[in-house]
Amino acid sequence: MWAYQKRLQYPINIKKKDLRMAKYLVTQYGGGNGELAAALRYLNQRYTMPDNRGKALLTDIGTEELAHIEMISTMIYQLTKDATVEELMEAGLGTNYAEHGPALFPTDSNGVPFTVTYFAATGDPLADLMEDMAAEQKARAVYENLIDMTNDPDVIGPLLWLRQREIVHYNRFKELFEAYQQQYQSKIEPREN
Amino acid sequence: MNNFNEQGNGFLDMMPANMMTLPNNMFQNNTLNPNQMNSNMQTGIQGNTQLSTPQEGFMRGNLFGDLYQQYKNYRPAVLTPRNEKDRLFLNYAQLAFAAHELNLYLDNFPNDRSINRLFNDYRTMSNQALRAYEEKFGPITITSEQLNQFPWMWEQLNFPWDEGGM
Repeated sequence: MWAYQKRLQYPINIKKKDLRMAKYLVTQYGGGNGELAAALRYLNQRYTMPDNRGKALLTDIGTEELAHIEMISTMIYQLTKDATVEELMEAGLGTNYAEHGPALFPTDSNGVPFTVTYFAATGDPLADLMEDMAAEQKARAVYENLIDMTNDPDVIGPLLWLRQREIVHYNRFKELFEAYQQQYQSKIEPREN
Repeated sequence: MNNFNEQGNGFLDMMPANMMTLPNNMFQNNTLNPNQMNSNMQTGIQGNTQLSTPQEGFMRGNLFGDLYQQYKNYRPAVLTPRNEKDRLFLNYAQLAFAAHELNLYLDNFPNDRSINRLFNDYRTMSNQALRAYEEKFGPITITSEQLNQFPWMWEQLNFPWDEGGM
């Protein structure tokens, strides 16, 4: 089970409304390389990890991704707070307002809603961990794209911080991948035809 | 006008480090090298694991000096507590982060005795820091002793996405 902590993992305090940035940033909430996909990917894959190392790592990183969803959501909320309908329409968020009013909704930057087809689960720990490594790299790249598009230090600070988390997670997954590769792949007998 | 300086409604002032002058030996002076701490790694992490302090690690979002990769010329934001609430919160967030980083590492390397010891130090300090914050500024966790009062305290303090929330 999980227990909520009524705080962010890293503080966010955005003072300037920026609707265009919110429209771009939403992809780290509901896009293919976003935090929601990351959390569900790891928390879903963990059941079929071959030992408790993998079950622990995917549980603990998956849990941290839930905290990142909250950080990204907070950023979107603060960037769009008190926006008028006219301002939302002008920034290209009119379609979002038509569907969801002022509510947050997990989509990518193009407004395409979140779908579980963004992640995979094969039951093969090497295949799944390789996907997890790629996911962290793609999320890192998207954070860099987003940092390139703003000059607000209140936005850049948390994005830089989240980018580092992708790097740490990538390396943890890589260590586990390499350990499993040594441990399990050498023991797999070639299949007879 | 902002009212962030008011006690109880504070937040952390965020300023990119490249707008400030930082001593450039700040990181080196604050590192611990687990390889020099009688390390007993059986699974063999590839040397040179430089651990930052909880403060430096939290600022960077990365406790592991050898994993840190700066993006372009961006430096991490410097978090400056504006009041006692910020200070106690930041202290807890830093220690909890350091313990979490070592938690992820230990998942992969459960036999690393020196990191295990350090994890337990940070875990203990983090629990103390959480209690210190909650005693003064209210519950972060639903298991907090501060909930032992009337009326229901959990919903009285702001949520993290609202002003004054943490």
